[in-house]
Amino acid sequence: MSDSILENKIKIWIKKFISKQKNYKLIDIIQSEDLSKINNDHIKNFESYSSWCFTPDFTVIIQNTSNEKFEIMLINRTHKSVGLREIGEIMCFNRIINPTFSFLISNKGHSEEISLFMIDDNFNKKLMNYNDKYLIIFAFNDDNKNIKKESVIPFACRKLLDE
Amino acid sequence: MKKTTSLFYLLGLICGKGNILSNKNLAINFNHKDKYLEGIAHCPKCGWLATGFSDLLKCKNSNCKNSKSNCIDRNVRKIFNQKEDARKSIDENIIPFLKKNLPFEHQILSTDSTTILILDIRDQKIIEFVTNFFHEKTGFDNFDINEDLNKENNEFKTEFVNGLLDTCGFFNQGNWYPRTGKNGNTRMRVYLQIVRNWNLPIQIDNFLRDNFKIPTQTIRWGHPNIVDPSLDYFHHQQSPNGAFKEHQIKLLPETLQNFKIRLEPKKTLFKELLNHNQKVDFNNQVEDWLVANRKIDQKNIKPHHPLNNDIRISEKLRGKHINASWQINLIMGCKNLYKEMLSSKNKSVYQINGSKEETNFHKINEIFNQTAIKKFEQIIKTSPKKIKTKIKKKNKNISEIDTYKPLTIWLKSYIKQKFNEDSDVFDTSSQTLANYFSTNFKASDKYREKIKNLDDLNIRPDIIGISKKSNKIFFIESKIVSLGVKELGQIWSYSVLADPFQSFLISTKEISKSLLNVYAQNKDKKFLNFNKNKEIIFGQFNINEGVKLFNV
Repeated sequence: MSDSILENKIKIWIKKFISKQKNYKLIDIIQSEDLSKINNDHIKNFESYSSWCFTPDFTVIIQNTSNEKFEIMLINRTHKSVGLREIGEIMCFNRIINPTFSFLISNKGHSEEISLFMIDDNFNKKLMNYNDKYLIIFAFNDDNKNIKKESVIPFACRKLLDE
Repeated sequence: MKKTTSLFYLLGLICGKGNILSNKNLAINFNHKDKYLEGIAHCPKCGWLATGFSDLLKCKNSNCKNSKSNCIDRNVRKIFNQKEDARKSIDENIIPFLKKNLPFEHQILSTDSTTILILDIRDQKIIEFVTNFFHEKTGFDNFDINEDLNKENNEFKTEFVNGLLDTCGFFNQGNWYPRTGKNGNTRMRVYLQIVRNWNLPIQIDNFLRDNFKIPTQTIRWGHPNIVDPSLDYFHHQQSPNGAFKEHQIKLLPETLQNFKIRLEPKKTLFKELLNHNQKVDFNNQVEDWLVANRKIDQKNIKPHHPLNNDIRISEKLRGKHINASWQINLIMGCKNLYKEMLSSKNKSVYQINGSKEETNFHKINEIFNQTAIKKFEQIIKTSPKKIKTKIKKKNKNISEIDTYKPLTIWLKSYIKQKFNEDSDVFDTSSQTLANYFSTNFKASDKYREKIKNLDDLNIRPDIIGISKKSNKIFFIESKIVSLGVKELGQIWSYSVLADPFQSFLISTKEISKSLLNVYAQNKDKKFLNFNKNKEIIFGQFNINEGVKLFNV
């Protein structure tokens, strides 16, 4: 799957995902920009944006319709199987921004080497939990724009991604 | 709790490729590394086996025209979609069979190379039975077959083997070996693939013999003397990891006809292998390593292998030189071989060369040791060893590899100054930790357990230090780029999982303004934290000035 096909799938999925969230509205999708430097009014609404000196693959601004507040969803993507390096990178972003949702999307799911970390609560809590929220890892089907449901981890988050 | 066929099938699945998770859920791995698998090809002219790697195959019958060149269309082989077929049979065969007698909820996690079935068993007694069966061990790489299984009825024992076949059974058309039957010269084998578990192969061998009178054709141990007898991986290819493979218990499909494989495409492939052997017709002869010749002559002595002392090898075997697979079978607990050894005149001689008559242990031992060392030295002499190093990024001034030695020296002195302890510090970047320790610390056992844990987690920082008194572990990840949040990810993951005492991210470049900004503005420094509020420490390395730490 080429870069542009995967990015396209992600953009379509973002819209679909947000439209299904009861209290959220999609405001903006920022692709591969240093968040501390981008001239974007929505980002500048966040108090600490000037310390966000890094570049997630997708930064999605969403609005909580119950209180009108802006919130963030972060997405990194990779063409390889997800390993510890990829998880570590987005988790550092998560621990700084504390996004409402955080996703790591791969063409291939996670690598076999880290399977045990993914399914064992002891490990995946240490590795994927931030402020009582979880980083969610998943892959798309090769031949359509849908999520491979069985690639989604943690399991507890599968319902959130029901299509 | 009522014992059932489903329960024993489950035990077999877990034993083959399962884990008992910390929340007592059970995870079973069904691997399908290659998306597609090919079945057997037979020559359309004579019906003998056709083999080859290109689009056209060659007949194995030297009297057939199709053996002269590659001319048989590869498409005579059936193609199986492993992942799809496996997934379907998990739903249609495996889960329904387990559900017959076991109360559970399940989840499936699927990637391109593996499908993991996770069972949340809703009966505490069953969970207790499973954990007791495996003596509280938690993973397929250290499970044993519980001796009590031998006392169960035949139906339960059969289901246990069915479970093993579905998880660790491999049924590949490429696993033939040359044997002459009435209608051909190739015989197919199946094998059970055992990963990192040194006890299980011979336990399975004992179990199949004792309970079903099924002999093993051979066991291919993943031991350096067996996998890498001419030190090709270790010395010539400079790829020491190649000297270790999974173990394979090779069996003839004819001996497994009473078992039931539930997972596709294994089930269909098994039938293909069986049909092939029946067609070639070996007159119901079986082969058994146990009745094969055991004598090891001087010409069969293998060169000494430096990785025989590796921590990945069972303690029972570690440091021992192996010339034949049966020697490992004996050491790892083969009951029949043990009986045979008792009938020999000198047990020590028997262990070395398989002779039941000879008695002069010291002389034989010396000859064997000297020959192994001599052969090793010849190999090392004839092709000089090149040092393999991981290809690392370079910039104009310094490569990442250039930083390892000075950082090793720095860490040693840091531990001394800061904690008043001597330490051992290792550059671990070019090979796995286990390799490093076995080749550099032949006599040392003291780090084995600590390092084994890291190796199991596949964690490989560039430099590791261990303080000698309090056994504190230190990690360094070295970079030659300016450090940003992105560079933090890898060392953070390693540190969260392995929980070193201190963890450093050190670069030859200045810390980027962006990271300084993030650091300055995030007062709680949570993004740097790993277990119990320890913090990743940044540093800058300069060849003349040493290391300057930023946040200590």
